[in-house]
Order: sequence, then C-alpha cells, then structure tokens
Amino acid sequence: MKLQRTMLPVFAMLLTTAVMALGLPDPGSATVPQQSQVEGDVVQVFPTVIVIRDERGHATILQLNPRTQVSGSLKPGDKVVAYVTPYGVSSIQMKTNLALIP
Amino acid sequence: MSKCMGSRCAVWLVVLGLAGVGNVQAETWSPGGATPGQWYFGARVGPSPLTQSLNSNLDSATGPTLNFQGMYGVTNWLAVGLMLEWERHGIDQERPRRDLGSLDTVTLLPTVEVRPGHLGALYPYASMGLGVNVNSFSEDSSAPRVSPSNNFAFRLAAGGDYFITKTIALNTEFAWKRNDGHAEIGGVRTNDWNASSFAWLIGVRWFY
Repeated sequence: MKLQRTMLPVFAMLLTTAVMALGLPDPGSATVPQQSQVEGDVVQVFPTVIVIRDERGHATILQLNPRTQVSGSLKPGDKVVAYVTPYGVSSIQMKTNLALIP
Repeated sequence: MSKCMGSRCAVWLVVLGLAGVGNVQAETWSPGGATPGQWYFGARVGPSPLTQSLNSNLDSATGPTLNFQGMYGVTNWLAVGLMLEWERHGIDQERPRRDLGSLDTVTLLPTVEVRPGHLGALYPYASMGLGVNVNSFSEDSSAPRVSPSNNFAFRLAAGGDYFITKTIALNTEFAWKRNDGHAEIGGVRTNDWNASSFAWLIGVRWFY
C-alpha cells in the first residue's frame, strides 16, 4: 500500500510526460486568437497561391479561396498584410493601401 | 479450446510470462556478442516522429520508417556494415493552416555496432552511423515548390536481438538521427529546417 502511494506521483509524472510528448492540447490553448494577421513581402504569385516572406525571413504560403478579398493585382516585392481566420485567408491588403486609410 | 477461455487462461499466460522473464534473469552475462567473420542482415519497420517542429511555422506528422542493413562481425564485440533507411512525414503549415505535402528521406549510413555480450538469447547492442540524408518533397498541389537540401547524417541507436533460432533473431531498436539542413519554399530560402527524427524499429535479423 505504501509502495502504491509512492508510485502515484511517479505514475502521474510519466503520464504528464507522455501527454506532452504526444502533443495533446492543453486547456490553456483555448485562448488562441481566432483571427490573426501575417505581414511580409510578396515573393511568388500563382493563380490560387501567394508566397510571402515575413519579417523573420520565413516563407508563408497563402492559399486563396473564392471568398478571399485581394486588393489590386499583387506582384513580387509588394508589402502586404494577410488576415487569417481558422477557415483560411479572408483578405490580403497592400500595406501602402492601409497607410492611406485615415 | 473452450477450456482456455476466461480468467484461468489469463492466469496461466501471466505465469508463463513471468517464468519467461525469470529465465532471462537467471541467465548470466557472457562477454562477446558478435562472431568474427559472420554476416548478418536486418529488415526493420516502425514509427518515426521528428524530434521538433520542422521549422517555426511547419508541423510534421509521425511517419513510417523502413530500415535495411548488412553487417559483418570484425571481432567478438564489434561489427561494421551499411544501413539504408527510408522515412516519410506529412508536412503542413501551421498559420494559415495548409497541407504542403510529404517529406521523404533516404539515408545511407556506414555503421559500426558494438555488441559487448549476451544474456542467454538476448544480445544488446549500440550502434553509430555517419552518412548522407537525401531529402525530397512531394507537394500536394502544383504550387509552390518545396526543395529541401541533402545533408550530413549522424545516427545513434541502441537495441537488442533475441534469438528464436540459431540464425534468426527478433530485433528492436530505438534510434535518433540528425537531419538538419535548409530548404527553399516558394523561392524563399530558409535555414530553419530541422527534420531530425526518432525511430522505434521492430524486425528480424538473419545471421550467416
């Protein structure tokens, strides 16, 4: 019985480690924002995909869908902000256009 | 057959299992786990997760690993040989979420294996290999292209052979492999590309 009591914390620790290793979602992850934005320079433009390079130099691939609003015709070198929801990219705006908004 | 159903059968299985463990524990350690001049070949398979995210915005799935090797006993505790390993991982972008495709890695590794001794039919070992990772990427859609680099491979492993006959052994192995390089994603080069992985392999080895 005493052995069982001492084994309980060890078992709990092993279980926690296993859960962390499996990458199961923790309760705190519920606070992730539903909408976010990604900024960067346009690198490549395809019919349904735009590749941008963010501030850290990483590539982000923006998949366009029929509901995605794109401001103007984008070309490599343009600075853009993409608004991202869990359902995909909602809009891509050029940063120069944003600067003109009062 | 019907007699071996229910709790009585389960008790017998436990007793037999404990007896088997007892047998292994009763065996004494004998030095020398390899035979000079002996060839052996292995075929193993198992799951392989990456040790971390591929990069800060790319996630990977646990994929299958296939491993083949041919080894030659040099001394009674050392073997050298060649290993060929293939693994595949599904890759997706975290934000915004998008499936990118799958990363395939073929690794060729000249390998040394240290086999210090055995405990009855159980032969533990540790191995190390240096070689090359050949990486390729299969995109889910035509654009954009993802081109990972080939790079230097370093693999560490520990495992054991359990001989079921004089020439055939069941094998299990746990391994870590370095696969750290760079990639070009849609024309953007990123140095933050680490596909190092763990692998847990189970298979068979044939000794000649």
